[in-house]
Amino acid sequence: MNKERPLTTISKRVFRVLSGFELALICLILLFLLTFFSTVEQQWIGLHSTIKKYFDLDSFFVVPRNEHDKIICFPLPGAYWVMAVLTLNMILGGIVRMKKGWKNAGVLVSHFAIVFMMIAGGVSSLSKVEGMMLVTEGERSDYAQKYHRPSIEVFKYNEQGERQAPLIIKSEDLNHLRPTDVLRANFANEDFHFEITGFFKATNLFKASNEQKGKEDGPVVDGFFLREAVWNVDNELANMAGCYVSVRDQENQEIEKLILWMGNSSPVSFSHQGQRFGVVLTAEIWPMPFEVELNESVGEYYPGTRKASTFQSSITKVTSNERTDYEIYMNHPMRHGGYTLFQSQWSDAGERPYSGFAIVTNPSDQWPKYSLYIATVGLLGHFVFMLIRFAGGSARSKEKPKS
Amino acid sequence: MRHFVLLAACAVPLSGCHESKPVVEVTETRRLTLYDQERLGNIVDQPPLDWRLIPPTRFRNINFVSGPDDSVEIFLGNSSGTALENANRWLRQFGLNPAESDQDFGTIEVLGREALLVEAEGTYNPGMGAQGGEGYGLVGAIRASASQLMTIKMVGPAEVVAAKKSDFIDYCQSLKQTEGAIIQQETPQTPNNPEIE
Repeated sequence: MNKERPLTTISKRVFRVLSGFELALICLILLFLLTFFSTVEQQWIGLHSTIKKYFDLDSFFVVPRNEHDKIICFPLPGAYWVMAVLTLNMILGGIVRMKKGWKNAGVLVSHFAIVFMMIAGGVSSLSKVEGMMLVTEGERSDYAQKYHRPSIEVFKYNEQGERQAPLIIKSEDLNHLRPTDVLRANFANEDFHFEITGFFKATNLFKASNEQKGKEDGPVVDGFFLREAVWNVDNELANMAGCYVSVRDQENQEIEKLILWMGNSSPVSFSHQGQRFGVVLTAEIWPMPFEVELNESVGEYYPGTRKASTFQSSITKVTSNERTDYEIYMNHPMRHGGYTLFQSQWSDAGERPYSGFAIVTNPSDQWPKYSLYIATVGLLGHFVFMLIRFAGGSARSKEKPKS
Repeated sequence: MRHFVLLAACAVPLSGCHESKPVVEVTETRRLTLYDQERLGNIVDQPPLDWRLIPPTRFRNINFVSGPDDSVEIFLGNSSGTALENANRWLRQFGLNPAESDQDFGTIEVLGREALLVEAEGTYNPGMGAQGGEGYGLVGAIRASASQLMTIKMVGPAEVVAAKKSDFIDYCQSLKQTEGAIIQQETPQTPNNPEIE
């Protein structure tokens, strides 16, 4: 009995700390600092890199730096984990610890809605998948590409010269590579392997006959070499990854040396034991369960610029058993079995205009909306309750005889 | 407070650590999509096994190397002008006299149309800084249509080019046009790209 007492005291203390206003305040200050420094750093490293650095699940601590890579603040905990702690704090302090009763019912419901919204953010961060589908007017597409996820696809050609289903080296294995790293990739049922070297996240491909190769540049392969490029902050999609691949047999003898660049949409190839293989470095391909036919793509630019101000598209969604027409415009996406497709790009720079559709799957897509509904109901209920109490109190005080 | 400082101090070196896997077992695949059917210039081809695709360039939509030390280049592109003008430009690269008419060349069928078959041998001087030399050979096909001029060219050491001539003709005759999007090919960043094939 005596032994239980300290434990109870400790757990009570822990509960008090976790549910306290102090912790909420610390979390909110940290979130302010994280938002401030991420906004500042965004101008130097770009939006996507900033989100990854500050808000990712695997970002436990972040060190804010300036454009010269100098530390500008003490290390801060990752925003994802601060929000996780704040959510726990809200649950314990705003729901568990709060006094229950009709008087607080509305506030309790609102707190629940806020927790629900925080959880929606967490689920979204963990399970949201997004990609971009580009379709030229009059054409169709059945895939999107995940632009910040470079992958290497290796495939066989059949006798008709058609590509077979590829084996994929995922971006998870490539994105952490530094130019000096060597990654060995073994393929199921193939008696060769790859040694991937010189991986640059942003590169240009140069023809050796046209450009003087510098000391820092990659080696010349097939008359080309890679040069690391400055990360394009304003247009992160323009950053093209590149690398070298040494194809090796079981005895580790080099079969072929390849140069891969994401800006090159067509594959390079090698042959091994009478079979031709294609290799391409591409933004990860994401097959869709439907086809999109772009019937019409219209838009306008801001005056004097090539930046689209408004755009909309007429599409036909084609599945195995039906064709459905949709109009896609601002705040009017197409939804299909958990996929949300909305237009985010438009250009008429080519022979025909094209539309860029952002495609997102997110199980918690609608949760923030629901949480807002719940919070509205909760606060409205609370205000009505308070109004009635106030009105009742006023009436009673009027009824009291003046002494 | 002391604990927080200690934790923060540990975080500084750790924050820079990114462990990269030295070996990955690649098993993931995906179903085929329209992406896998896209072809530069809508051309479906069946090259010989010993032709190896390398990155395309501004004037080489489809770009192969073959032969010992990749000494033979085979490439497909588009050009301007007439078929005869292009054929004569190729002949001049070998120091040969220009032909007077299309009738001076043999023909093969490429994508359902007759194409000029240009052959040359000698000292190759492609110009514009590109590498040439003595003992080179050329076999090329030029297909004119209302909208564009397609050129397919094989150049390299004369004896290797001669040995690969039948492969080249088979390749040209195997080309097929496919439906679908013409890929807007990113051009390699060659600021002074002077090549004219």
